[in-house]
Amino acid sequence: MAFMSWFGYTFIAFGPSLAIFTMTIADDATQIIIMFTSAFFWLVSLLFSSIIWQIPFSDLKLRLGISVALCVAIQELFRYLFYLLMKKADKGLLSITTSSTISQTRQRKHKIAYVAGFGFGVMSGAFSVVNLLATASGPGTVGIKGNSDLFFLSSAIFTSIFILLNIFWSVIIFDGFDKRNWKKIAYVFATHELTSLLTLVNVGHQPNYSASITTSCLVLLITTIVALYTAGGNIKSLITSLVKRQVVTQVR
Amino acid sequence: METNNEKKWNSVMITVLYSRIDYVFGIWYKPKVCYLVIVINEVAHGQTVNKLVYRDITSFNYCVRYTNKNHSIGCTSKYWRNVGVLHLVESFSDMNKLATSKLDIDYVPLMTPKLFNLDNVNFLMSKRKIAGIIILGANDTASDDKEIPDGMYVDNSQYQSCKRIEWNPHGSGMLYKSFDFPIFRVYMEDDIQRLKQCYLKHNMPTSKGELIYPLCAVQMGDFMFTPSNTEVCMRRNIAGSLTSGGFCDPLGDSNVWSTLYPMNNPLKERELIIAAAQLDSISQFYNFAPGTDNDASGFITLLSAAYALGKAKNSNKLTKPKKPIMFAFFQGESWDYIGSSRMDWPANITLKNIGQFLELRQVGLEDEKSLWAHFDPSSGDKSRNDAFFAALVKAGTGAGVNISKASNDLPLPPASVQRFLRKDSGLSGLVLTDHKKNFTNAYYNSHYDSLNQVMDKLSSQGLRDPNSLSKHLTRLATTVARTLYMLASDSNPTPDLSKITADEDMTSELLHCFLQNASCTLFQQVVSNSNAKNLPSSAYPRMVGVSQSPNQVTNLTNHLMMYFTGNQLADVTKQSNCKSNTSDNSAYNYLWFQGQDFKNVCYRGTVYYSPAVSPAFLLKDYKSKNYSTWAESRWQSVDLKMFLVPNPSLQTHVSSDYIRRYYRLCCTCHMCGC
Repeated sequence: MAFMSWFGYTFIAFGPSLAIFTMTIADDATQIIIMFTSAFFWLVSLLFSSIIWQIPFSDLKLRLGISVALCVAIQELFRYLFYLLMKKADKGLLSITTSSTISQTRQRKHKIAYVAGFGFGVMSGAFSVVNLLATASGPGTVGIKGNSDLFFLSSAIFTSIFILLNIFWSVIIFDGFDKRNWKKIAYVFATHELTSLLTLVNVGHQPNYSASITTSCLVLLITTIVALYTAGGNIKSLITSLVKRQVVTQVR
Repeated sequence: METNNEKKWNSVMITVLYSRIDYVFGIWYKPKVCYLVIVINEVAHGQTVNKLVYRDITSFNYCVRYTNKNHSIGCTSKYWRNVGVLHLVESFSDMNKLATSKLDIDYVPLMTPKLFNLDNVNFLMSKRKIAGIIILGANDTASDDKEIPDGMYVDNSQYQSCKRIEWNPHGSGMLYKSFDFPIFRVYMEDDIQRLKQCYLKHNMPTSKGELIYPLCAVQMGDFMFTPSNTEVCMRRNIAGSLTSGGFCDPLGDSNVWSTLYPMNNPLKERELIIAAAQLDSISQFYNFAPGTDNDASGFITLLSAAYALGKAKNSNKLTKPKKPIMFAFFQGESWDYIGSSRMDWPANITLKNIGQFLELRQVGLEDEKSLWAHFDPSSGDKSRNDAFFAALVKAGTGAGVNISKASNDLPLPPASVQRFLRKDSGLSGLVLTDHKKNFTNAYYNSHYDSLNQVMDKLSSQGLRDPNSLSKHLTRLATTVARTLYMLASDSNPTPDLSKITADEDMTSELLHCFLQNASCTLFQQVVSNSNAKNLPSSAYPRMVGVSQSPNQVTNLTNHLMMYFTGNQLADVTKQSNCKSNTSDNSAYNYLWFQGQDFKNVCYRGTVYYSPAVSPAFLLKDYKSKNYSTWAESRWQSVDLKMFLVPNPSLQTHVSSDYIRRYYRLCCTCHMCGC
């Protein structure tokens, strides 16, 4: 049993999201409710996507391409539905909020979008990688039929990238919905399609992992910056937030 | 046994309770819905991930575990299957390389049949951790059986444990060894090449003698539930467990016996004449015991002889002889004489009634251009023995078979008659074989005892023509039939033996049906038309199996005997009428099958089953000195997968071993129910 590689792949895929969860989400009951609701919405979107498999295709590659494109569209539709739900549920959620840190602040809307995106991302990540991890527990590794042995590793990296992307996409698109900013909505839709279709180059016996991972990382970087500005931050405030704050108490 | 419904359910239960992680999560990728996850790189050309990692190898025979009163034999893997790196062993130098390898990993040697013998296996086991053995194909090698089961000589200081003669010098004794790893025999050329290629591609050392990961490895699943011996196993069977209905089952089936004419009158002492043969064979691999010379030559000759006598009887060429003739086919004889130790006689027969007992064992070959008659040196009446032998020789001369008497000071070779002589040394027991001293057949109780090797051996002996087996057995069948009739009519009046002749076409058809193709014409004739479709186009396995599941070889033998020695009831046209009337003599049995013209006919005859399960299991005496205590383990699944293993530095042996041990502990506790 390749237990060490199993742990390695698991932490590459879910390590960042685990940190995000424990540090920013776990302490607030409202946020956990939002997270699970959005994860559920992602599942429902997958359910609807499965209808695509009823369409007959002659070519597998074509089938995969069209399926992925449609699937992404359906997910974005459900993201919009979730946005509508959150808008309606906002007042109710506020009334049961226990934490005073986020309530009534102007960051609240972004925070809801952020948690919603996290729920989306974690659920999609779990779906895409759990069966891989089950197989990765051993005793064998990929390669008996000439497939690349980087398969598990690249899958884990992709999972991690997609979880992070989903968080930022939600932050951007929720703001876009609020302000009727079509550019932001189009940006999210386009990058989601792009990154998802990029994974198609990994199909087959000569996968191009380096190209697809590099591009995805680049998209992630840009999306992060867009999300940062959307949430009202800038590079300076980001650096400030990363540096340890010195609490100065003045004693007279 | 795998087809057993209960067992299937058990395996489901086990899988549910101890589901491996990939089995549980396996459900995630089975529905098509899940192909559509966003990151579709897990779906490469529609293959699931498991298929990227593992290649299943399906064409193999495997070795299972049997237990008796003291110990267990055969193979088992660990519950979580055995994993080992492949190493091709085609010569002694390969074996030495394996033995001196510096890597601390488990190996699975891929051995050629020539090198697969007990000495080499012991040598490898002493040097290396062996996770399993795969044998590539089958061309030649030796007999698996060394020990001769204790027959009548169990308490005889002169003959016990084969003191006087080692019957099977070719035997390695491998069959009676217990291995803690699986032994598989891969037989399809494609699979053999796949294994070899994988080894050559990934496991060849570099010029510096180092191995480069990933290495080609196999996983062998062959876990046997049975504990160390039959007594413990039966105790746990009763105790039961959460996960499996049982751990082992007694070996056994049914004997088939019949009489040429109905036996109505009470028998006189030493009157009954029995001709017997055994129906089963064994080898190291489950349900893969061709046993051509070992048992097939004997029981096919006996069937052919029954056909000759039945044909003569039904065409009214024979007068009913004074004494009764009985045919007996014993099952499970390879496992310490299960069938013959449990012969349930009808009420009017006791051992005292048996006069002559002619047994056919290993009669397919010849030794010094002759067959050999073995008598027990210390039993039987001298004059009756001599008359018995004289009748046999006379019949043999008439039919063209040379028969000689084996040395007087030799004990009987392994034979069913030993079980009868052990209880009553008064009867005349004659064992007809193709060996003067040691076995002529080098493949006794081994999977190499095939039709081809017997044919090859016959032609190399310069016997008549290459296709001489059926001719040889036909001549012998004529001899046996005539001997029986001569003995039964007590040479008064002198019978006209020329009317009894075995049919060569029938003998070759029997050989073809039992050894090559069970869906042959003859077998179609003796089963009902609904069953005829189910006959496989390969030979039925002739290992005895467990008593709960019926053995097709036994059933077919029963039907054939009915077909050969019974009468067709022309006036019965419905299956529901094919049974005994109240007015009828209840000694008859009735069978409904297709018959010669495939028209569905009713046959009536004196053919019977008798249970062949060792009395030890009836007496619940699992330490029995007198009876067979062999039981077959149950198992969940048997599989063989080939894949690449990553560098051990990515694997952490320690942690995985701990987890395996933990699971093993849980499963053992549950399964033992103790």
